[in-house]
Amino acid sequence: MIKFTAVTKKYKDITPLDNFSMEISAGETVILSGRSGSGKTTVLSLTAALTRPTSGSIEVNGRQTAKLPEEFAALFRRESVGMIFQNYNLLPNLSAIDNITIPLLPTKITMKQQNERACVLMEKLGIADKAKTAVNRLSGGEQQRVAIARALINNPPVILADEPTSSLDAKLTDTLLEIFAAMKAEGKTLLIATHDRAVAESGIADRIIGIEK
Amino acid sequence: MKAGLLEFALCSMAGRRSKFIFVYIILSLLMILCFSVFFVTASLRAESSYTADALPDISVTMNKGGRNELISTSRIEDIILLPGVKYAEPAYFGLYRFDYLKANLTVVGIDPFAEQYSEAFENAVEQNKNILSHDRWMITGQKLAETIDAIYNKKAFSFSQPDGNYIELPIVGTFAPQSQMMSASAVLTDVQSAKEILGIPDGKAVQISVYTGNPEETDTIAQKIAAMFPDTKVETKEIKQTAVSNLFDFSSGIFMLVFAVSLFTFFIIVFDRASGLNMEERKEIAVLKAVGYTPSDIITVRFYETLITAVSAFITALPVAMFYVYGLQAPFLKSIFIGFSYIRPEFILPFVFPAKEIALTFMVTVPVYAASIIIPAWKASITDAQESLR
Ligand SMILES: Nc1ncnc2c1ncn2[C@@H]1O[C@H](COP(=O)(O)OP(=O)(O)OP(=O)(O)O)[C@@H](O)[C@H]1O
Ligand SMILES: [Mg+2]
Repeated sequence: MIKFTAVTKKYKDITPLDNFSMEISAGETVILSGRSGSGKTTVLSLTAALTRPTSGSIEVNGRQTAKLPEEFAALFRRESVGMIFQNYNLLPNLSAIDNITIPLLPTKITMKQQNERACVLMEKLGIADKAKTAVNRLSGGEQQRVAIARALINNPPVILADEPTSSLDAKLTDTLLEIFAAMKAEGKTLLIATHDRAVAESGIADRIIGIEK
Repeated sequence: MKAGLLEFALCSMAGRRSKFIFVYIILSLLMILCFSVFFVTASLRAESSYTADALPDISVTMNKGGRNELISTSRIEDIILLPGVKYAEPAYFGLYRFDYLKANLTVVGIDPFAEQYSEAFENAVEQNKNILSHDRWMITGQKLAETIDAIYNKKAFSFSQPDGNYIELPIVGTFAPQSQMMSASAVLTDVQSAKEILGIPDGKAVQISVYTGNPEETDTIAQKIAAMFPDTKVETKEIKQTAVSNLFDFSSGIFMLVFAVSLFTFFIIVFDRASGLNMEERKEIAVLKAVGYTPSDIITVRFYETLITAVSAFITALPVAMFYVYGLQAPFLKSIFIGFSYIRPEFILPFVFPAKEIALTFMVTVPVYAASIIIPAWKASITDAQESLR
């Protein structure tokens, strides 16, 4: 499902990834671990084709993404990956439901269906009563669940989560792990970047990939 | 058209309300200014073409070394012999300084029964029937007539002649209020009075007005007169007409427009670039990319935003400008175009709708504004999103 072959990523003077390879099969749940600055976020961004590798090839959901032009990269993201950012990256002025349906707006899905889908997800994630609230008035945990709903709304096979527990307390961490378990049960491929022991020790992961230089 | 993206554009605009309201106000003001200038110039042009109807086909004036001098009326006899000339006559007009108002009155002596005046005269003058009963008379604008009445408490005005004597003329009528703009400070009198007020001796005139039978021969006749009298300046109606409309010529209107448009749009762009694609906007675009928006989706969203802003500005500006110009009669702007004077012309701007120019304004402003929004958005949409999302 996700395959990195000899991937190198250079920023101006830093090379967080140097000749990095990994392979994750469909339906696997994998934890990406490593020190701060080791390149975990970079791997997730590369997987979502939000940035291009300096060299090497990347295959996700059967698509070679390393050199994909932006127009196609966008369509690839729409179909294949849902990303839950560490800082959630919600649009602060919009309500929860409007944030969740954003990915569907350019598609042919009708408004009614869009709202139905969003409602189902919000129900599952326990934020149904917050639908009309502007996201900048939600708590951190609620914002994260809005971000999760937004990542799931297009029903992509690959879910990427960057440090999902970094701002959650122990109780919310447990709730989140249940959500991940449910995604896993649905057959999603999960790639979670974290250095949180609790996640690693929860047993959710099939595998842990460490990136150390 | 993607309804979803339009909806998003609306939501996104609502979120950045103050910025869009600012741009909307600037755009509206710019359009109101341009449209008002257009309405006024188009309307004044329509007005001045009326005035031009009363001009002779050819005017002959005496010009020595750049000085305008009086012309001998005896030359009419030579001119009238030229083939193609229907008739020629002396014209008496000039400026009279009305010190009390610090204004110049244009005094024109006419024969109200002459054929070439009758139509313009009847259109221009209300209640002129009692002219017949006077040897000497004057007709002027409503405002000037009222002013004279208020100052001297009578319906007559005493002109001082160059020789120091006074000549009193009864005001026998006023111009119709909707008549020519030129009429506001104009005073029509009988020929004899005009000559006395302006100090024109017998046998002389300010100009010889020549009327031709066939407009196509006018140029040739004008050339012949110029050859016959090398000391004169010969002008055709067409030349004069252009000179009149040059007063508020369209090219200057267009120039003003282009200037104003560029200036204001420039400010919008500067404002937009200065506040520019700030972190927030950059991030919004990056988020949209991350959830699967293609560059064309992002451009579409921005396009809707600019379109909504520009169209609302247009819809606001058009009625406001129309109300300002035709409803309120363009206070201030009208004065700019016809000059500030105590005896402000009382004529009414005739309704003209310069559709071409208005469309042009819309088509100049909107793409410039749209480009200033869409180009940076497009650039952001094809650059690496990862950095803005960290
Ligand atoms: N857009 C960028 N431009 C320049 N340097 C970058 C960029 N993105 C990441 N880096 C650098 O690359 C390195 C790896 O960054 P990355 O965010 O992938 O690490 P990380 O493992 O996610 O760290 P953390 O655990 O702190 O989130 C860091 O040194 C970071 O400063
Ligand atoms: Mg990181």
